[in-house]
Amino acid sequence: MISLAVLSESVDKLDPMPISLPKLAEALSDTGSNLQDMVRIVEYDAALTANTLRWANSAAYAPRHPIMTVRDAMMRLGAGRVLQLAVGGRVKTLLESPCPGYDLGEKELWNHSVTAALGADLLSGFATQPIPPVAFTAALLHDIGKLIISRHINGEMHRQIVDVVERENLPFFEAERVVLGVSHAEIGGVVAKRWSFPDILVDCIRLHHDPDDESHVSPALDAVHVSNVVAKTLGVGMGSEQMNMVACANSARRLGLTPEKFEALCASVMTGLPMIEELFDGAKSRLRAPVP
Amino acid sequence: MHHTVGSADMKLATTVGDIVVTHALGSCVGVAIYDPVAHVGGILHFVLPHSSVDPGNAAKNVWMFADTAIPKFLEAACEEGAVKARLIVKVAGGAHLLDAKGFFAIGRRNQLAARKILWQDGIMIAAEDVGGMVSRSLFLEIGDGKVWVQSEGKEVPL
Repeated sequence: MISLAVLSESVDKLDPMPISLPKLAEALSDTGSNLQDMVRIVEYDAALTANTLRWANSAAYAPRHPIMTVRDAMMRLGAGRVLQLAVGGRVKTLLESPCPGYDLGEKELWNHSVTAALGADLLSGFATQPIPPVAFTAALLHDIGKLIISRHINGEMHRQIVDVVERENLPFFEAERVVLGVSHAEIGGVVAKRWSFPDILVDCIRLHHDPDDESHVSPALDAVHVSNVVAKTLGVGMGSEQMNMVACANSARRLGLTPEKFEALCASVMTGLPMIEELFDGAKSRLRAPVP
Repeated sequence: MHHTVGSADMKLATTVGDIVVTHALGSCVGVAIYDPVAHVGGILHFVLPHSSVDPGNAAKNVWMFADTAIPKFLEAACEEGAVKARLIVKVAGGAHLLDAKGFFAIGRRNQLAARKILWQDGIMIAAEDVGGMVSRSLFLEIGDGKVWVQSEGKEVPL
C-alpha cells in the first residue's frame, strides 16, 4: 500500500493553476454562463489574453484578418479549446517527464494525453450527443494521477500489480487498487480538485475507468472514457497498463457512436495529431515536476 | 541501418544487414514481407481495417487502412524487385482491450482484414503473433529475412 498522506504531499507540491483556468472550466460547465462571462475571465488574466490572441492568429487557425479582441478569438477557437490549450501549456512539461512506475518513457504520457484530448475534441463530429467542452480538458488530464503515483511505486509494487492482474484476471487499474489501495484515476481526481477545477471535471478524471458509475453517468465522462480508448487503440502511451483496461461499449452507445463511427473517429485523430501537437508546442509554459 | 516505420506508414529496404522496425502495435497490425531471393523486404503498419469508414482520410494516407495499404505495399515491394510468389509474410499486432461486447474490437477486425486481403492476393501468412492485450514491436532483418517480435520486455522469433 502507498500512504495517502505521502501521495497528498506530492499533489500539494504541484504548482497551482492560475485561478482563471478553473473559473473558465466552471463557466464552461455552467449552462447559465454565456460567452461574455468567459471573455471577462480571460481578459482578467493578461497572460491568458495574450496566449488566446496568439492561438487564434496561429497558422493552424489561419484567420483571414488578424484577430484583435479576446471575444473574436474565443469565437474563433471555442472556449473549450482555449481552456484545453491553456491547461495543456501549463502541464506539458510535467506530463512529458518519464513515468518509470508505469513504464512510460519521456513524452509517452504527454502523447497519450494529447491523443485522448484530440479524441474528445473530434468526438462531437461523430456523436449524436453534444460533448460538453470541459471534456476536452478532462481528457487531457485523465492520467495525471499516474505521474504522482509513479514517483512512489517501487519494483516490488510493480511486480505485485502485474501478479494481481495475471492471477485474479483484473484490469490494471483495479489491480492498482488492490496493491496500492488507490488507483491513478482517483489520485488524478485529487489533483484536479487541488487545482480547484469544477466537480464535473474532477469526476471525469476520477471515474474515467468507471463510466457506468450510476450517480455520475454523463456525456462528459463518456467522452473522456471513449477518448482514452481511442488513444489505447492507436497504441499511444501503453506503458505497463498495456491494453488491459475495460472498454465500455455503453459509454460509446450513450454518445450515439457505432463501431464504424468509432473507427472513423480513430482515423480522424490519427490525421489530426500533428496539428494538435503543433498547437500545444506553441502553448507550452513551465510547471515543475513534483519532488518525491 | 535501422528503418523505423511509424503508424499508418510503410518502409521497404533492400540492403543486406538493414533492419526494419515498427513500434507501438496496439490494435494496429504490422505486416512484414520478405523476398529471400531479391532481398527485398519491408514492414507496413496499418491502423484500421476498412477505408469505407473514412474515404477522405484514406485518400490522404493510403497506409492507414488495410484495404488500401496492403495491395499498395505489395505493389511497392514488387517495384523494388520482389516477386509476389516468393514473398514470406508475417503479421503481428491486433491486440484488444477488455471489451466483452466486441464494440471496439478493431484489433480483431484488423487481423481478419489482413488475412482476407492477403488471401485474395494469393498470399498465405507464414507466421503471426496477434491478439492479447499487449503492445508489440515488429522487426525484420534484410539478408536472412529473420522476423521477431518484442513485447513486455521479451523477444520472440516469428
